[in-house]
Amino acid sequence: MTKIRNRQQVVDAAAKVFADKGYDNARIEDIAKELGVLQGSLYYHVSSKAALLRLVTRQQFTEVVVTLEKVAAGREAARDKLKKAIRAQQRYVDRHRTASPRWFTDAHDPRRTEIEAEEDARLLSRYREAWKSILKDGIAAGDISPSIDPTVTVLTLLGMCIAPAAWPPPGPGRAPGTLAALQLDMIWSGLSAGPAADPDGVAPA
Amino acid sequence: MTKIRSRQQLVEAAAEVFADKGYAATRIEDIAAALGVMQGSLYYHVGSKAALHRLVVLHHLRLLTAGLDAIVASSAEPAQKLRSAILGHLAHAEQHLIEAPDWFSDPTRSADITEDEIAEHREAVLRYRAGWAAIVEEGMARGEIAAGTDATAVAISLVSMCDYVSYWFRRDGARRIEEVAALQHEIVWSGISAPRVDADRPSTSRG
Repeated sequence: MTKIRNRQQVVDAAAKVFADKGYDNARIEDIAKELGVLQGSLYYHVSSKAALLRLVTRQQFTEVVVTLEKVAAGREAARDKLKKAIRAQQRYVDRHRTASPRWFTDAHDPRRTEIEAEEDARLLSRYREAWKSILKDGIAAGDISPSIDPTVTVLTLLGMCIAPAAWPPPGPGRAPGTLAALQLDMIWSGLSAGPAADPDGVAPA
Repeated sequence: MTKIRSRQQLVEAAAEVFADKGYAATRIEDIAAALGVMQGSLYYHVGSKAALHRLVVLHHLRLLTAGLDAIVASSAEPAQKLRSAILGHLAHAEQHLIEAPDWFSDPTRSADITEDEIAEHREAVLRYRAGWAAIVEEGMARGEIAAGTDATAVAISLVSMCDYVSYWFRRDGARRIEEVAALQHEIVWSGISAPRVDADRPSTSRG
């Protein structure tokens, strides 16, 4: 029997077990076994399976928020930032299908404590702001039309990014990377742009 | 006490109760009460609350598809059809905000779902996507959308976009549902990039 060194170790083990077995089938014992500890010492660190799930999903979402913030802070043109952002988002959705949709909403979750709800709201708002700053920088640089509604545009993009987790699955030839490229063209030039956009991003006449 | 005349009657009553209370808060008794029957006779028609809920989701998928099929069959231009399709989805979801976020989720994890039900559900979602794809294909045939566009991938993306609105839209929010639909149509049809002025190629990227 080994010892639990920190909570992060517990969260990582829980993430692995949830991913392998699915949340419903995962038992606290499985997570203890993964860590090589007794069930009791696990309860010393975390109160319930639901609490573990929260920690796991929160960590996964935090990772995508941090990625987005880095993309937004970069020096690239808006179109390239959007490309990276859409890809990162789709990768996240693809990897964490069941947990992801709830993170993009401020839907009321009665199981959260008030402090947890505040933490979630802060994280979600950081996330939306990162997306919006990509759009706003693009507008300032003259690449994006000033007449767009940044909020609705972000939510439109986030909605499209759920596509890799759609049921039934999108099918062969529509891996997240392919879908991301198609969606970027669609929202950048519009469906009515005629032939596929030039690589340099100039809308064809 | 009245009698349940058809499964359709049952599904419609359940749809109303779920829409009012949400799935979690609805009890089978509430649906029995709405129909004016005893709980037992309800179980004669459907095995569980989860099974009833799946029937209600299918009911909504079919309503959405019927609306979309009428748009596809109309004589409107593809751009107009796309606009109506987005509005059709969003307006229907707005009427059922509590339960709409479940309509396009994976039903296969539902506890007592049968293989036949999964097949039926798959067919219903694929039919809905096919309606969206038909609009994209018509746009391609008329040269308005780039030839070789993966119409199904566009359809899946658009359904995800519309479906997601039910997760974030609030009736007391900044925009009415019609405005959201118009903005989304503008984004996907005309794009968000700024008009570019080229000496030899006047821009048509926003129009």
